[in-house]
Amino acid sequence: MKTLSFADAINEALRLEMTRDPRVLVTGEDVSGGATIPGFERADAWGGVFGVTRGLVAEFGRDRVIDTPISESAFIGAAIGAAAAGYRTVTELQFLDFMGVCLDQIINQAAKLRYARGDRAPGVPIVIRAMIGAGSRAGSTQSQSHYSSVAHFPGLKVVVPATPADAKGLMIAAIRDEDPVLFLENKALYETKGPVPDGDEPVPIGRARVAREGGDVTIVTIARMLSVAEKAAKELSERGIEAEIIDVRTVAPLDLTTILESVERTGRLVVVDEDTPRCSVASDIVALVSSRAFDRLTAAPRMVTPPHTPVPFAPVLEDAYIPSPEQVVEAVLATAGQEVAA
Amino acid sequence: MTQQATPDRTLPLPGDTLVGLYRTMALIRAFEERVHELFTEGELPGFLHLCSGQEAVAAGVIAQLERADMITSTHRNHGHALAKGVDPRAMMIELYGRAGGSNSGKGGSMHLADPAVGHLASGGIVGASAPLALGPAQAAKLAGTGAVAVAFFGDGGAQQGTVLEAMNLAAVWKLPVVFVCENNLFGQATTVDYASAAAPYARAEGFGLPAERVDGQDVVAVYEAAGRAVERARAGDGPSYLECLTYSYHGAWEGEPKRSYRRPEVESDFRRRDPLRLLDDVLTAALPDWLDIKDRVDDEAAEQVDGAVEAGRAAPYPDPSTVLTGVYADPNVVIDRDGLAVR
Repeated sequence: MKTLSFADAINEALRLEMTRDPRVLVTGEDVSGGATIPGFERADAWGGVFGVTRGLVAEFGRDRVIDTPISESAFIGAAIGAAAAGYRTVTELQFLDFMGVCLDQIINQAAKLRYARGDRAPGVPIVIRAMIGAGSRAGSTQSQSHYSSVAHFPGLKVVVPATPADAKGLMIAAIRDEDPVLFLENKALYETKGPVPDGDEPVPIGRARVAREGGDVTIVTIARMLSVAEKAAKELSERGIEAEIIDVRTVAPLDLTTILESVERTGRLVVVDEDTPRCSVASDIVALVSSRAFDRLTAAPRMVTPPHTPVPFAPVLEDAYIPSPEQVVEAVLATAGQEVAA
Repeated sequence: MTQQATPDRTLPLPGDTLVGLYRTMALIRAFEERVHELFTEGELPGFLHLCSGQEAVAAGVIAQLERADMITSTHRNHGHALAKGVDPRAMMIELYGRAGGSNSGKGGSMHLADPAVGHLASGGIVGASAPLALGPAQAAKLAGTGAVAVAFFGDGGAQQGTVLEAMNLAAVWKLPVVFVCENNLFGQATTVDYASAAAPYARAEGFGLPAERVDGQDVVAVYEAAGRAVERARAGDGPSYLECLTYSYHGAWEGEPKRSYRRPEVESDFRRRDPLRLLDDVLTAALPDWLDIKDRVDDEAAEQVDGAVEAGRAAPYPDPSTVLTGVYADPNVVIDRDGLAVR
């Protein structure tokens, strides 16, 4: 066990899998950072906007860490095609917001090729890395957390790690997976440090994690919202309410079993999500729990999400946009028929 | 059309090659005409896009490929699949929507493919074939296998930005890929003259790709041009672009409401230069025993298609529960009809 940042944990997973499997490639815009400059890989290659792939080009060379033009449709298509020839490409979309320009390759090609070609067809083992998350004053087109829009499509796996340990383990699992995985990184987490296991043990995709045990209310969190819920849980504990926090870790396929097991004990559900609320993973979880555990619920489930608006720029507006611990406390108290001021 | 009385003229290609090209085209024609009949009679379901009239492009290009060379195709893909070696019986079973077909009943006409014979994908998204083909080309280059990849798309697909992105990336990475534009003059009912501000092949030159436009009715011309492009790719000289002018006898799709948009004089001109007929003329003039060979090849094609239809009719319907299989390749993930993993 050692302490690593979220970004370095992903970097370590990539390094371990590239060492273990020579068929693993890394492609995307600036994943090397300076591929046209002779000698740059050993001097000061960027390794992506936030340095997540830093050092990989020096270690594995330009044949395996490959910069691309800003042509997402072309290079994601190439990653899908290379999978058919035995390669496993980890390709970087930078911001999930950019999926609009390559959505066909993600939702029609990567997601459906296996199914449409029939049961004997090989899978499409690719990983698409992309950043999500508001808070960096980037405005409406580089700040979204709209994983709901990809979780909707059958055939895709969508992972949303919240801790450095899960970032490493889920990346290892994603690279070894036979199916296309969207690996979504909240950029506000990159500098977060935490304990990370040594070795190359994967964290299974499709399994939620009970991040905090408690018997009074179930708080389900997605990605960075774990830390928001953890702050809320401290305050709730001081008020005598013990929250159980479930970090979903994967939004597709969703581990409903772990959520239901918890709600059956607590009778209360609050879902905290940074995605917008309509037709979302959060609303889906509320609907599933309501229809399958209605008798066990003692209060109406609540969602804590941003307003259903684009992400605004002005710091005051953006800070108010992101779900806060106070909003989570308020929602939990509401499920118990209490108010914050009480 | 002139036929020479004596079979002494020099063949444009070795006799075996020409007979092989004819064999592929005859199979495609027989397959497509039977599918047309079966659909018209109401026996086959589906949204079908036939390639009768365009056989020379599939046959001429794919004759230059090895099994390990990957192709990506379009919604009008039966010819590419047959030429690449996808089993016609498995294809027909799939078209019938029966169990045991090439795509397990999950794909149908527009998604025929079989990676095992080097056919990576086809589908209903116009232009999507181009980026997909870059992958096997990149893999071949990295592994040094000498394999090439071919992306087929139409004059409609040539208007998609993703095709232009793919051409640029192929050039940047110097990939062994050949872009083959089957220009059949129409994207549905919209003419290429209206939809394309410049000839499709002319754009390729802007990306630094060697580009040719050939008569897509003349399988020898297609074969030779494809040979030049494939040779450049295998030699490590990067991507090329080949535009083939051709014509779809059955229009855009089977059962389309009317054909008034197709001018009879254009259609009759292409039918006069039917790809099988043009090659038949060459072989008649050149091979003394061609008529015997032709009878045999035509009979074999008819028998193969008869066998495929029989297989399609005889195959059982798929078990409805199989709709849930194959969403994920991962054997550890079994999902229920709500998309939730079953533990």
